[in-house]
Amino acid sequence: MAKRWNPKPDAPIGVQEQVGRRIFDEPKLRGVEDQPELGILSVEHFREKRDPNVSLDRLGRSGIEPKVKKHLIPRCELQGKKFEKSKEFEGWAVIKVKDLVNKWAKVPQWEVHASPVEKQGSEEFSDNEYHAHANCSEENNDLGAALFLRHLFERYGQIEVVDQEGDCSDGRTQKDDFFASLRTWARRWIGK
Amino acid sequence: MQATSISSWRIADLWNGLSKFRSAAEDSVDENAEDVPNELGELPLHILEFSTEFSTPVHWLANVERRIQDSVLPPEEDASCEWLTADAASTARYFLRDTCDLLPSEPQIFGTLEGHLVAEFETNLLRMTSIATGNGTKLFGYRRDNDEMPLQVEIRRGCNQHRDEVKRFTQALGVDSHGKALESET
Repeated sequence: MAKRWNPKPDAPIGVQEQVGRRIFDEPKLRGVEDQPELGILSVEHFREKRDPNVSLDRLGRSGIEPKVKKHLIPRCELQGKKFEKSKEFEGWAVIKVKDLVNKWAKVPQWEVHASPVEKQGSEEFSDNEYHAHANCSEENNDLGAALFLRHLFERYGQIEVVDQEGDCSDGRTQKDDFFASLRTWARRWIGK
Repeated sequence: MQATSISSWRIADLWNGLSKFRSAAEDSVDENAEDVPNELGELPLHILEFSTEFSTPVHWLANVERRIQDSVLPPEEDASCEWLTADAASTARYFLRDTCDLLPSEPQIFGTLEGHLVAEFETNLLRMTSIATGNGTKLFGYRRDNDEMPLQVEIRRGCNQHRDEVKRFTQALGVDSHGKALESET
């Protein structure tokens, strides 16, 4: 069984890597109940209000790696519980690093670098070896940077949806994955 | 000029404005003042034609204004994505009333944590976003049929060429003066 990818913290991030911005459910405006739904990602998902560095997760070396994703889901859910009002983790907006950095010759220029997070005391799921930061060299305003970032993720990336039980976007659940692994293991064992 | 219809709120604004201007002018006449020498002929003056253009109301405006009004932060609530500040709501209302006929679609509106209003205008050809804060409006937009860098502009509150700025922006995005997104020529 292949091991989960362990990125080296000091190695540069590959341009083929997939990085994801966590999406949490955001409350709507109180007066918009009759508003037609266009399925637009809120710009709030891409804002980093306290830091010029935008937090991302490294989801795979060239495609999204299921083991990495499974490892990250409880960490994302924990983050959702830490907001002032608890938020549900819904998935990631995902993009290839090469589509995020230097998309245009002019501004804004984005850089992505690894910044793993160590475990906070004894708190379970508080570490994240897949954590990365994106930094925009030109845009000082976080709303302006968020608009550009959302544009890049929406236009050149994809959405990786995760539901409450940790389902993958293709409909398989963690339980299904477990039974699939068990079946594979059994077949191999019988074939010996 | 393409859009010249005047909505009722504009007539009321104009009437109030004219009345104030008239009374101010009457108050300021000084009967003992000497004639000011006419030296204007010596100055290099350039006269620009000034045209006033009013927006044509669109079918979605009343609904969006109601949604904005229903989302204004009540005094007992804290600022959050669920509420708009009164300043942002006022800026957004002014923006929409002044430019609704130039905009490509009915907007979907969101709030930011600070109570700013984000309006998303979406068609199959383009996406345009406006963010109304207490200080003005930020516009961001791109076409789906090309890979160029998005356009963005910031219009300060009180700018006297507000409509012209929005018109320039929407035209650069390929929207005609009736708010219709046009197919790209290439």
